[in-house]
Amino acid sequence: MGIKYSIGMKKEEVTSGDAKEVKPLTKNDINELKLIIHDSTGIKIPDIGMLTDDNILLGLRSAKSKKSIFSKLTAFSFAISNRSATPYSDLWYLIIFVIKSTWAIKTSGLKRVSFFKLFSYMLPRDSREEYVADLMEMNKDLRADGTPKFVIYLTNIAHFTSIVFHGLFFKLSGYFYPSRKKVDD
Amino acid sequence: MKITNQELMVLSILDTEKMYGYQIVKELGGNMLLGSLYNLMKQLERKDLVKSEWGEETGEGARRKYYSINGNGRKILAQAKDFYLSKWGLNTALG
Repeated sequence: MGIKYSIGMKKEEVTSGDAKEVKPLTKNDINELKLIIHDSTGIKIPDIGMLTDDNILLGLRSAKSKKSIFSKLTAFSFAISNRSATPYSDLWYLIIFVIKSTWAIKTSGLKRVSFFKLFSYMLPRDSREEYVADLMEMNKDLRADGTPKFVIYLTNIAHFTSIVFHGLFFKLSGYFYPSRKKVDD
Repeated sequence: MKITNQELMVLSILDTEKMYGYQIVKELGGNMLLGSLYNLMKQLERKDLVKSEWGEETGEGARRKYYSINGNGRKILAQAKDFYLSKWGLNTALG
């Protein structure tokens, strides 16, 4: 039978053999779950087996109240376990995923943005685009040469720091050192 | 107008063709950080020795900026060449 996980029950209760007979979710249960997901996220799920990380995350992101789906699903899982309809791997997977993604969503804005985009906002606006282009090409070259990863990271950090420093220095040099500016001009 | 050796080196690199940032760094032997280079290019632009233009997009939010030397830059470069050649006594040797 393998290891079964039940919703709202301890693991050993199920695996010991004393657990109540496992029943799959009924059509009504599945429909109810679909409705909950649809209400909370606005996405229609044709089949419960088609739930994937991406479409749940997508749904959770678009949900008006991000907490509501978690509480609704928890309530739903307890309702199911009271009816001894356990386990249903997709549902269990879904709930675990919802718990994980509740945390992930709080930082979703940061997690899904690419490295270059995220860090480019710290760069001076006028060098941002060319820096990203140059750095991408540089990384490509370094990778093609078989440079160790940590060297690539260090190189990136060095270039990034230099850009931020020089960006600030160049912009503020006239402000902090007006005499220097006069000499240059 | 003050001009540094680094600026002269970049001007001499740009004398042949227009280039973007990383290309210039490669021509300099990779001995310069990008931040220093952009700063240098801005200073050259400010001194009206170099002009820049945006090139093609290379990816998400990335675009190349090509730098090329202008008339003033060529003049300064020629003057600097003459100065160094005469300083080292090579102008007569090279004819």
